[in-house]
Amino acid sequence: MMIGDRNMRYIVIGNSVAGLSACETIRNNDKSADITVIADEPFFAYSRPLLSDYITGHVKIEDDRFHYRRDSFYDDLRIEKKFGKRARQIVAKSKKVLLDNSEAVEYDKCLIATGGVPFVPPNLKNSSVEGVHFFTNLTYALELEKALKKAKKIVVVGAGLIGAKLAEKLSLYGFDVSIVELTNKILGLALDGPSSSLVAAQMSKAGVNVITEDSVNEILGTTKCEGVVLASGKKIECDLTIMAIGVKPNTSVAKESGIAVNRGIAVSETMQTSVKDIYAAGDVVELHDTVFQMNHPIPVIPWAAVCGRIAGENMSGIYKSFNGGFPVNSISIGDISFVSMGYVETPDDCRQYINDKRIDEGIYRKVIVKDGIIKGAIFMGDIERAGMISAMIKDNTDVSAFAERIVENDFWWHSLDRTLREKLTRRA
Amino acid sequence: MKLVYIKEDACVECKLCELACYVEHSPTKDILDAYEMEIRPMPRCEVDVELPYSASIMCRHCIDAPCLTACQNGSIYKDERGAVIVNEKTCVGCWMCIMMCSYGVIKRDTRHGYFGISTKCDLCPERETPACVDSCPNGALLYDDRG
Repeated sequence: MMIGDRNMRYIVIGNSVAGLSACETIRNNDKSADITVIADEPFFAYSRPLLSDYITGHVKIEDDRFHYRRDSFYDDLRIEKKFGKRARQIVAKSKKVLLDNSEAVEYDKCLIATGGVPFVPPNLKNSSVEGVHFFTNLTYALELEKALKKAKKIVVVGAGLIGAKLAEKLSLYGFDVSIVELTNKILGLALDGPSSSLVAAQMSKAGVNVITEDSVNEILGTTKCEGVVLASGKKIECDLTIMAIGVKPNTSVAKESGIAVNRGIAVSETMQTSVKDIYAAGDVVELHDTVFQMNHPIPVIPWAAVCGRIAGENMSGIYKSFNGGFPVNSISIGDISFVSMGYVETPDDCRQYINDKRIDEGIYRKVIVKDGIIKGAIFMGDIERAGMISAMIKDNTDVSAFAERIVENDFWWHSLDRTLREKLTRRA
Repeated sequence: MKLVYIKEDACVECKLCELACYVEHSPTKDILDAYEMEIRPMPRCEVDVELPYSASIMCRHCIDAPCLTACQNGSIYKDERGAVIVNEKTCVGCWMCIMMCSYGVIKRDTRHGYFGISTKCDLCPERETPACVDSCPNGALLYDDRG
């Protein structure tokens, strides 16, 4: 697309899933466009879930599998890289992105895909001593890798997806690891009681000291971390504390630019922000959650990729809308893989179907249904058919006729009626 | 592009499609060699049975494939035929593709080392017609243009 006698200029702030998915879509629609990606980290886009495998040496920075796209990606798509530079502010009036080195880059359409930043508990005492770490990006992982060379005992704060996986890997790698979780179950947003207990058992089997219903109030040590004090008064000696309480949207650029931010950047169904020609996608935005019936950040790769593409389409002139998402999780801890989506605890107005006959083997399944529509599911140990459920949530499929069959171990196409099976075959 | 069409009324649950599939995905494509392998290839189609219903089910190669979008490291791509393919060299077995696949047709292969591999139908890139279709004795699988 041309504007007068020059190419359209697209600026993407953020070099990960949402940003690069938008770049792919833009390039597909606009062969002549000037596309620039600005990112504060100086690296090729990488796969964040692999950071804990990087720490244990199972994946190296130069490995293809660590990269979000193959090596020729930026050249193939003719993307100008401005890496190692932080976008400070977007000036909508003059259509410029200001970088922290006082450079100004002009745009016609801009995408904010700045992801998330680790959440720091506001009343944690003495958190600025050496040995307190985060683990949400490669820069943090490199710092942690260095610190681990001199460490033996580690406390991980927060048993969410990042903390739980990291704690398990570090323990298997030979460190003495404790994990402290505020609520009464680990992976509480992704699992219900019985499934969380199964994962906790795997963590213990890996040697992790799992502490629930407690939190870290204070880091001990004058210059270096020597331990933590828990709310219960208990003390744990440690050389490193890794904060993994959660992530929050990295909204600083948006806020500096006068863009509306609620729990994340507010976006329309086309992923446009409150300011014309500025779009946002990925972990930095709040999405409409069709299960929880509210707008909030859903920081997972599938929606980041979907929304990045939708933003890219609309930025390059093709109307596409996002009709909402819901939480989805896939993770393996120890020998157990699980997938969960939507509600994991059953609200009063919903009905639940549970199959825990083989829970001793690490196999467990639960489906939550409201008025015939699935609102949540946990597939543990036996996950191959889980995607059929995420599709049914997305499509509002009426499952009244076969709801109880979903939790059967052999649930598949035979569990559906013929009409639905034929619809499935046709949809492709 | 062409797709394998599933005709459930013609399926006689003989499972020859599964056999043909794993032979085709073995190094020598010889049935005896494949049978002797220590770790046999997984069949990418699977016969789903609840009589009188039975059908061989495999990837539908979606035009807008949710597995591909969900992949954390670009290991799923479309080849020049439009087939949805897993790069088994880079797949890390995070199973996000499984989480988003509407058909439940991606399998976990965890027999090859640290990283698991998502295993699915690749429409037999080295053949004119996929092995499952050729092996079906009763016309329950048809290879035809996507319509």
